[in-house]
Parts: sequence; structure tokens; C-alpha cells
Amino acid sequence: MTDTVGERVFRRAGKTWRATTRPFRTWRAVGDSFDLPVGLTPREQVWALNKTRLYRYAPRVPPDERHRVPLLLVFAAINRPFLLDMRPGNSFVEFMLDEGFDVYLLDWGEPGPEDAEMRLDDYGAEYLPRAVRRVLADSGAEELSILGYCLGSLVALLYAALENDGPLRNLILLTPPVDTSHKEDSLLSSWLDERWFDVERFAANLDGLLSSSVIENGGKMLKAVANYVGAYVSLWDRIDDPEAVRNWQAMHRWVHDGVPLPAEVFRQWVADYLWSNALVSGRHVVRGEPVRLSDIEVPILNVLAKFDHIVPNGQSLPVADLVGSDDVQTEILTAGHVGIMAGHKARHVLWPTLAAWLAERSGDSG
Amino acid sequence: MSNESGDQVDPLAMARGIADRAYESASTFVDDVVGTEAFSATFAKGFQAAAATTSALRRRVNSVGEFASEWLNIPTRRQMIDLARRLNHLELAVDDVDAKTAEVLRLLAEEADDD
Repeated sequence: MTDTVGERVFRRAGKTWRATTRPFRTWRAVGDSFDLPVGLTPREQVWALNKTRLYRYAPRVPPDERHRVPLLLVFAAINRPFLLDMRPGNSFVEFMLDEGFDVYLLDWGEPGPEDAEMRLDDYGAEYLPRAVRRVLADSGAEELSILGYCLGSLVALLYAALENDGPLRNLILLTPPVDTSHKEDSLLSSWLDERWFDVERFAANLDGLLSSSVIENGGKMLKAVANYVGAYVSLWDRIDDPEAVRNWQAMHRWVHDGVPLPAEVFRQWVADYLWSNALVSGRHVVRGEPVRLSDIEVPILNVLAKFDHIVPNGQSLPVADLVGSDDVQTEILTAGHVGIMAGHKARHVLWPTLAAWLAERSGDSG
Repeated sequence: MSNESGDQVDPLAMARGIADRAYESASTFVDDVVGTEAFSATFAKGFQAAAATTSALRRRVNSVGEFASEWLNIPTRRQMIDLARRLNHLELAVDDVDAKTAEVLRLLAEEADDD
């Protein structure tokens, strides 16, 4: 059926209007991203300590269909954890709730100058054990699974090694930066190399906190053109697709809504982890107790992103050889460091992989 | 960049192609540059210099703030930070007490069940 002249003119006018207004709509979409509601899955706060908050998400399946072992999500302390719960229909938390898991989230919050002396160890040895106790008390379970992402997986590993006779049943590590002797593909290792970077002096000049804008721009510089230009070109291309625009806005908001890091955490991470590789060499001591990864004997799922430019695969792969567990599964997925969890393929690749692995190891339903 | 013209001839196709190639080249070039040792050393030194400069400025502002707070007889920033730190320690201690209380209650309940 051929269009009438009127329809063709009308369609052409619409196309011209969309093309003409594209720059303004793109500009507006960027600005609006900061007000986009995110992290909308219903939840309640079950515990708070200092800036740390523990949330429990409202279950979405009846109790008799739920897995017995609750899941605690531990995110990196340098970003807001809503990456795990972006938008309804595009939320890892929502997906896991639908799969019958009882999901808890540990949000480290935004540190203040009074937290300047906090160490990375404090997250794993002071805060996480307390949060675990609260999860067990709240859920009535005797064991739990922990999923750690990026620096959160480092914290989870610290906890698992120090509390090796504790209630941890399963451990999922997403892109864990463990063996930092692998510096070949790591720009961060190169930029913060001890030959030219004096971390003690730098940390002393920070007045307690490493600002979120420094962390954000440091991360963006790792893929400068893609992050400073490519991200906006991508929005320009998809500006006529409302769903794609909303997903882009959620990611844009997450990237620009970072949190500062206590100066001592940064100093310790660079000096002890990045330079000395203390966790792998077995020299790392927390409150007089040596941290031995070989003490970890729980099942581990170690997930790597093939195109990870923040944590190169070489830093995560050795986990299987370092821990004492007999049940270690390593998965390398075709994605980047963030895309592995929030990319458009995550729902079909990573999320089902995690749910299936956990379901097998989370006891019977009910 | 996208081509919206469908089956029609796109007069901007060449321009888009050039823009895409320029983007690829710039991306490769910048990624190569930031991966060099020279860039790393310069970046690190610049980073440290910026921190040192802002630190000096911040110290000056803080000292003026401290002076003004004392003159107005209100708590200084340093005192507020110390107070917040003590409250954090107090919160940790309360959480410890709560954990011990919960453990005692659990043991008592177990004992009651045994009886």
C-alpha cells in the first residue's frame, strides 16, 4: 500500500524535527540523568553502623519457594551500590529476588573526615562480620552466601580468610583485584608505580579523603576517549529510543555519583596491595592475625570480564590456586569491568550464571 | 554514528565515516599515550603536585576557620571531627555489647530448651 502525499510530508516533517532537535534532546538527557530515580526495588534498612547501612530487599516469591541461604551483596566502597539495582526491569537485585533468593545489600555509605583513618582491613574485619551477624539474625538462617564486586570482592576475601570457621557457605567474586604482581595490562599499576608515585606524601596531603571526582576522572582516564566522548556519542545515537536513553542515564548517573575514599584506605591499597602484593605473598596481617587465602575452603565462583581494563584478568585468575577450596569455578565472560554487571547482555549471561551456581549450593528451597 | 536514512541515499554518510574513523584513531592514540611510562610518571607527579597545592590552600582556609570559630566561641571543625570519631567508637562498642547480649540470650534459650 502506497502512502499518500500527506503522510509522506508528515513523516518527513517528523524526521526533520527529530533531527533538528537531536542536539537539544541529547543535552537535556544528560542533564536529566542526575535526577533519574534509581535503586527502586523495595527494601528496608535492618542495621546501621557509622555510615554503613544494611538493607534487606522485599522478597518477591513465597517463603516455601525461597532458597534457604540468604545472599549478601558487598559492593566497592568507591561507588554507590545502585549499579546492582539500576531500574525496574534492569536490576540484578530484582532478578535474584525473582530467582527465590533472600537478598541483602551492604552499602558502605559516604565517609566523612572523621573516617580518615579507616583502613581497607576495617571493612573486612570490623564491618563485614557485624553485617553478617545481622543478616543471620534478621533472616533466621545459619549460613549465608556473599557476592563481592571489585574492591568489595577483596573485602569479602579478607572476611572469608579471617572468619574461615564462620557462617560463610558460598563466595562469589566478581573481577577481584587479588594478585597485583600481574602489572603488564594494568594502567593503574603503571600510574601509581612506586618509582614515581609517593603514596605516603600524597595521602598526607589529602586532608583525610580522596575526593570522588579524582576517583571518577582517574577511572575515566583509563579509556579516555571512550569515556569522555564515546559515551555521549552513544547517547546521541540512541536518543530516539526512550528505554535505551533511560538505561544510559542510569549508568551516567552512577558514573558521576561516586563517593570519596578515606585517605588511609587509598594509601593501604596502593602500598600493601598494589605494591607489596601482601595478600598473595601471605605477609598481610590484620590485627595481629595473618591473612591466608589458603584458609578459605568454601565453594567459590570467580567471575572475570574478558575486556576488563580496571582489573586485568591476570590479577583475578590466580584465585583458584591461592584458596584452599576444592570447589572453585572460574568464568570469563565477554564484557568489560562494569558492563559485566550492568551491560545489556548481563541479564542473559552473568545473572543466570550466578543464580544457577548459587541455587545448586544454597540448600533446598523452603 | 547511526545512519537513519534507511534505504535512501545518505548525503552525510561520508562525513559520518570520517567522524567514525577519527574517533577510532583518537581512541587508539590516546590509549597508547596513557600507557607509556613517560605519561605515567608525568601524571603521577602532576597528581601529587595538585594534592600538595590544594593541601596548602586547605590548611590556610582551615586555620582561618579555626580562628573564627574560637573567636565566635563555637566548636571548631577539628573538634567536630574528634566528636564524630568518638561517636563512631561508641557505636562500635554498643554493637559489640549487642552482639554479646544476643549470644547470651541464645545460650540461655538453648539451655532452657535442654531443660
